[in-house]
Amino acid sequence: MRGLEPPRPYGHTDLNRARLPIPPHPLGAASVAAPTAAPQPPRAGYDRRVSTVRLKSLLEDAFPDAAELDVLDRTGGGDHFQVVVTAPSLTGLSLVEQHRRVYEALAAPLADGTIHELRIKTKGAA
Amino acid sequence: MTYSDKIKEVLDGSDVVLFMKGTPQFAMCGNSDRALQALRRAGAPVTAVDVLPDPQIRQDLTAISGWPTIPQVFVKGELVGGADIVEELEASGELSETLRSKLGDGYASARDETVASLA
Repeated sequence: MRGLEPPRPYGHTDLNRARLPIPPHPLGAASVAAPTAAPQPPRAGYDRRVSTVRLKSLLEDAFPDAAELDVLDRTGGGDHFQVVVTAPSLTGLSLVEQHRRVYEALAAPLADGTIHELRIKTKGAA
Repeated sequence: MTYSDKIKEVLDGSDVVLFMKGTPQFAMCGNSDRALQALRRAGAPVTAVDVLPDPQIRQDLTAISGWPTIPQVFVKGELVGGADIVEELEASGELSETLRSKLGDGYASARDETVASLA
């Protein structure tokens, strides 16, 4: 009768070998005196979530004149982004040059690997 | 021979070069595939180069092109852009224009897809 054991507040003290491997009942998990997992310290140098806020502020610094500036987390995972920039300072530049400006603005999060994918849509403002 | 040399050799020797993750038969990244499909729609004679066999290929390529992401599309050795740009140019018809002006009118008839290996 797997899983029908009563939760054991003081851990498993019944050493009946036939019953040893039975895991705690899932619904009883909250009442079992489970060892509390120590909170994991954040891993140094690897901030997986480049928030759209950070990207947006970087872009705002690079394109203070932007008429339209949007950062979208495409997957919600904090590493696939869609960037939309419309700015007068991009007017007259080729698409390659326009995208380069965006890459330059986001050099830091690109270099540390936190941006896994970046889609870019740029326009010179009319 | 370093990867930089090999990359330059491919760029010199081929009209349209696509640096991608995976191969045209099996693209390992959606964006590489987007670029490939756009080039196919434009009828470009693509030479595809897989950057995955060695991370160094990617680093050397970025050092040459100054472009941080994959895929990268070159026409006559000149960077056209990544997936977004190529798709945008294809949609507006500019890609065919560029190919026609750089490769001549008959570029689509010479269409063949090749794979160059650097590793």
